[in-house]
Amino acid sequence: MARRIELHGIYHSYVQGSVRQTVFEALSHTFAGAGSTAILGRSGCGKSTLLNLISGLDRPQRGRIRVDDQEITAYNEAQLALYRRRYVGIVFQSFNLVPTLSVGDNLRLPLELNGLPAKERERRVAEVLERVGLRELIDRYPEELSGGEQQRVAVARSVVHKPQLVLADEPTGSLDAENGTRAIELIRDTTVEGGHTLLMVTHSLAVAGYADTVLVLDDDGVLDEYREGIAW
Amino acid sequence: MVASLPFRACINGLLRYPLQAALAVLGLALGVMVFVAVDIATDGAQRAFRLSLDALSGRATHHIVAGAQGLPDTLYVRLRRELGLRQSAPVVETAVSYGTGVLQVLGVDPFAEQGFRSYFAADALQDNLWRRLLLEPGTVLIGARTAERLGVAMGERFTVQLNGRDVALTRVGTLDDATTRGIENVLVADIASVKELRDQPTRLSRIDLILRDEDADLRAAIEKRLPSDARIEAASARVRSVQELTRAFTLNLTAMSLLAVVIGVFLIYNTLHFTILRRHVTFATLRALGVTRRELLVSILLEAGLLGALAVCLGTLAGSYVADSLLALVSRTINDLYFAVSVSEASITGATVLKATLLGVSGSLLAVSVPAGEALFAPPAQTLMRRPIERRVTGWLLPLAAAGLLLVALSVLIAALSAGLSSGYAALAILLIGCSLLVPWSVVKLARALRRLVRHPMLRHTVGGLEAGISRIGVAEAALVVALAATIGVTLMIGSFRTAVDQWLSSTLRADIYIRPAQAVTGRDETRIEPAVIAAIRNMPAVSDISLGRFVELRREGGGVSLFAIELAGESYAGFHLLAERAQAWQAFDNDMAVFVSEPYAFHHRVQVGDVLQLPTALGEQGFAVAGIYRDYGSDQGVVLMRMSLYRRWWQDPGISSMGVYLKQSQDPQQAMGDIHALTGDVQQLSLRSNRELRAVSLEVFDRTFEITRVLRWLTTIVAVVAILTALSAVQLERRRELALLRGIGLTSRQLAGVLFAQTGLLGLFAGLLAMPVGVALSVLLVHVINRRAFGWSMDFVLDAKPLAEALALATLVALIAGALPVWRALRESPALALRGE
Ligand SMILES: Nc1ncnc2c1ncn2[C@@H]1O[C@H](COP(=O)(O)OP(=O)(O)OP(=O)(O)O)[C@@H](O)[C@H]1O
Ligand SMILES: [Mg+2]
Repeated sequence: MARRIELHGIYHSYVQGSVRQTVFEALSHTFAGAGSTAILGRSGCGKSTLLNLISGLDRPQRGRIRVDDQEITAYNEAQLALYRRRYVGIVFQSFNLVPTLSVGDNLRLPLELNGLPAKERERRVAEVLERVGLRELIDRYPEELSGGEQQRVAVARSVVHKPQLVLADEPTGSLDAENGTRAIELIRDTTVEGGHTLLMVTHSLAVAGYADTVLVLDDDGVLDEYREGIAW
Repeated sequence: MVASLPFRACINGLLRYPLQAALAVLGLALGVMVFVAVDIATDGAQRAFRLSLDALSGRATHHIVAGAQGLPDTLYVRLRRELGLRQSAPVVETAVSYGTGVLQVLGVDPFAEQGFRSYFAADALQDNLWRRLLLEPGTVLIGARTAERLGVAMGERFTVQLNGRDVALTRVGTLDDATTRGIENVLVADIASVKELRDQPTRLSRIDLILRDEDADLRAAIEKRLPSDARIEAASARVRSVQELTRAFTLNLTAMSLLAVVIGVFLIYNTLHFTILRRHVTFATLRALGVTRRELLVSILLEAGLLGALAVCLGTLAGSYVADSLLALVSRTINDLYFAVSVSEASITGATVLKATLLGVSGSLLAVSVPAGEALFAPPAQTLMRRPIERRVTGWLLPLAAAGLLLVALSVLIAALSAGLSSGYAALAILLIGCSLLVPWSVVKLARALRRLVRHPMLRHTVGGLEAGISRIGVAEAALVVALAATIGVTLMIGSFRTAVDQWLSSTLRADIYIRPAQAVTGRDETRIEPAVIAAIRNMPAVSDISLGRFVELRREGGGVSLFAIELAGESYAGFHLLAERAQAWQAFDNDMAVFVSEPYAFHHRVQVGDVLQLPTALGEQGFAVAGIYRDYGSDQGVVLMRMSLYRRWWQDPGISSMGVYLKQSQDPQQAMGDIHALTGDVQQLSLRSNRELRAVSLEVFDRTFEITRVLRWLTTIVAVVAILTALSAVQLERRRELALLRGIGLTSRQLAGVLFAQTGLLGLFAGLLAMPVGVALSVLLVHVINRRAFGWSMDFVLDAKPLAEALALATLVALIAGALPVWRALRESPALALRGE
C-alpha cells in the first residue's frame, strides 16, 4: 500500500546556547503515493531533520504531518513507536546498528517486533543479507564490521520487515560504486515490489537517478523540483 | 511481555561491562549481607530468649510474681486448698555460673507439673527418676544438647557456683529434647533442692497458672489472697518486656546495617547509571525501530531487578554465615547489659529473607529509575545524532546542592523540634541524604579551586577530568563521603560517650575496694553478701568506712523497675552528680519518703523532680517523692535510688548485694584485699575489685558493647570502597578514547598512570575533606539526639582530631588502591582498539 506524506507549515529550529537556528520556517510539501523520491541538499540544510520529523523521532515545533489519513504529529510516544515498528524502515546516516546484538539479531529485531514466526524470520534475514552480500557476517557484532559493512547491514535492516515507508539517510555514503548499487537496488526493489514509498537523502546524482522524483532542499528549508544545472 | 531481542540488546549492554556489573552486585551483596547478619543475630538472640522463656513457662498462661523476696510457699498451699486451684505449679528459679557461662536452674514440684511442662511426663516418673530427684539432694536433669556442650556425662558430678559458693550437682537424667525445644542451658531439679540452693527454704520465685478468659471470678479470688507486693502477670508480658529492654540496642544495629544497604544501592545506581548512559544510543535506536518506551522500561527494570535479586541471594547466603560471629558479639553485649541469654546458633528466617529481598530489589529498582527516566525521555533524534548529555547533568549540580542544603536545614529543624527516637533517626537519614546531594557540587567547586591554583597543563587536565566526569563519579563520591562520615560520626560519638563514662566512673567510684559475691549472676535478687562477712569487714582495722548496696528488680504493671538501695559512706555522697534536684535534696533523701532516679529512668518514665513514684512494696503500693535526678551510665533502663533504711522498712529485706570499702589513709588496697579474702574465705567466696580494676573492667564492658558497632562500621567502609572502585573504573571506561588519544599524542605510560592516580587520589582526598564536617554533624546528632532519645543519656560532645585525620588518610589510600585497577586496564589496552570501539 502506498504512503502519502503531507507536510503542512512545518516550523523547526534548534537552540544552541543562546543562538536559535531555524531549519524550517514554514515547509509544506506532499509526497504523493507510491514510488521513490531522492532529496538532494547542501550539508546542514536539514535533510536528516526532515526524515526525523517524518519518522516521528522528532516533533516539529509547529505544523502538522499526515501520513495517509493519520496525523502523526498528534500521536503520543507509544503510537509513534508502533507506527515506526509496523510501517517505517529507517537507514540512519550514522548506521546505528544495535552494538550489543549480532548482525543477524539486528535484522531479526524488526521482524520479532512485528511478531513474525521464527521460520519466516530466518528466511527473510538470509534473503536480505544475501542481497547485500554479507551472508558470512551474520554472527559478527557491529564493532567487528567495517564502516561500509555496517551501512549495508543498516540498509538490510531497513527493508527486512517490508515497511510501507522507507526513509534512507545517505544509504550509500560509505560504499564503493558496486556495493552502493547493490544497496540501492535492494531498497528500490523492496519498495517497488510492494508498491511502497521510498524517501532517500543523498549527495550523489547517480544514486538520485534511481528515484522516480528528485527534489532539492535549499538552505532556506524549501523543497523544490530538481532541474538540471541547479546548484545544491 | 518483553520481546526477547530488545531485552537481549539491553542486558548485553550491561554484560559488556562484566567487572562493573560484578562490583555493583558485590557492593549491594555486602550491604545485604550486613543487614541479614544483623537481623539474624538480633532476632536470634531475642528468639532464643523467648523460646527459653516459653519452654520454662510451658503451658502456663499467667504467673503470680512478687518482688525481691518472692512469694511465701504457704500462698501456694492456701490457693490450692481454699480455691481448689488445680492448674497451678510452684516454681523456684535461680541461676548458677558454670565456667564462663550461665545456667538457669528451674526447681519444680513433680506432682504439680502435669499440664505445665511436658518433659515431666509419665515416663520420667516410671523411670524412678523423680524418686532420685526428690530424695537425693543436688540431682538435676539436663537437656541432651546442653549436657553435650558442657561435657557432663550421665551420673557425673559437676561443680557450679552460686553466690560465691561451690555447689556440687549430679546429672541423673536427660530432659526430653523433643519437647524442650529452646531449653538450652537449663537444669531442672526438685523444688526443695533449689530452695536449699537459694538459702530461702520458704520462698517461691513464682506460681504458674493456667487461667482461661472465663475464669475472671477465679482470678479475682486469687488476687484477693495475694500479698500486697505480688501480682498476676500474663506469660506474654514477660516476653514483651524483654523485647522492650533491647529495643534501642537492636534499633541502633539495624540503623547501621541499613546504612550499608543504602550504600550498596548507591553502588547499583552508579553502575546502572553508567551502563545506561553508555546505552543511550542503543535505546534510541531501539525506539527508532519501534520498540515502545514501556517495553524498554520493562527491560531496564528487569535487568536491575535481576542484579538486585542476584545481590540479595549472595548477600543473604553470606549474611547467614557471618551471622554466627555477629551473634556471639550481640549475645555477649546483651549478657553484659540486659539479661542472661545463651544463644548457640541462630538460623535465618523467612522474614529476614523477605526483608532483605524487598530492600535489595526495591533498592535496585529505585536506583535505576532515575537513569532509566533520563534515557527514555531523551528525544531519540538528538541521541541518535550523538549529542552529549553530560551538559545537562552539570546543569543539575546547583539545584541538587540547593535541595541538599534544604534537607540539611530540614534535618536540623526536625532534630530541634521533635522528641521521638524515630524522628531522631529520620533527622539523621535526612542529614545524610542532604549532605550526599551536596557532594557532587562541592567536588566540582573544589576541583575548580584547585585548577586555578595549578599552572602545569597536565595537572590542569588532571583536575579538569574530575570536573568533567562528575556525573559518574558524583554518586560514588557521595557514597564514600557518607560511609566515611558515618565512620567519623560513630567514632566521635563513642569517644564522647567513653569520655563521659570515664569521668562518671572516676567521680562515682570512690571506695577503694568493691565487693560482690563471687560469680554472682547479674541482676538476680538472691545475690547476697552474708551478714557475718559484712560485720567482719567493717571491723577490720584498715577499714575506715563502708557503703552498702542492695539491688532488686521490682515487678509492676507494664514492666520492671530496678531499685538500688544504698547506705552511703560519708565520702560516697560526692560521687553523685545531680542533674536536677529540689532544695535540700540530700536531706530529703536521707530522711523523708524520697528517692532519686537516674537520668535514663527520668527519661523513659517522664519523671520530673517533685513527682511521686508509686512502687510495689512488701506492705502494699506506696508513693515516693522524686527529690533528684542523677547521672548514671550504668543502666540504660534507669534505676530508682533509695536509702537503705527506707528500703528495709518497706520491703523488709535485710539482704545486701554489694559493698564498697573505704580504707584508712596510706593503706594498700592489694594488701587489704588479701586480708579480706583470708578473713571471709571460709564463709563466702567474694569477688573483690580495687577501684582501679573496677574502672578498667567497666570500661572494658563499655568497649565490648561497641565492638559490634566497630565491626559494622568497617563493613560499611568496605562497601564504600567497592563503590569508589566501581566509579573509578566506570570513569576510566568512559574515557577510553580520551586516554588512548593522550597516548596517541605521545604521553608515556608513566605519565598516563600519573594522571590517573592523581585523579583518584584527589577524589579520595576530597571525599575525606567533605566527610569531616558531615561526620562531625552526624556525631553531634548521635550524641545529643539519638543517644538521648534511645537511652536518655546526656553527655558532652568531645571533638577529637584523630578520627578525622584517620578518615582522610583512609579515603586517600582507598582511592589510590581503587585507582590501581583502572590504571592497569588503561595501560594494557591497545590505543587503536580503544579509538575504534563504539
Ligand atoms: N541537536 C541539534 N542541536 C543544534 N543544532 C542542530 C541539532 N541537530 C541539527 N542541528 C543543526 O541543524 C541543521 C540541520 O541539520 P541536519 O542534520 O538536518 O542537516 P543535514 O542536511 O542532514 O546535513 P548533512 O548532509 O551534513 O547530514 C544543521 O545546521 C545542524 O547543525
Ligand atoms: Mg544528515
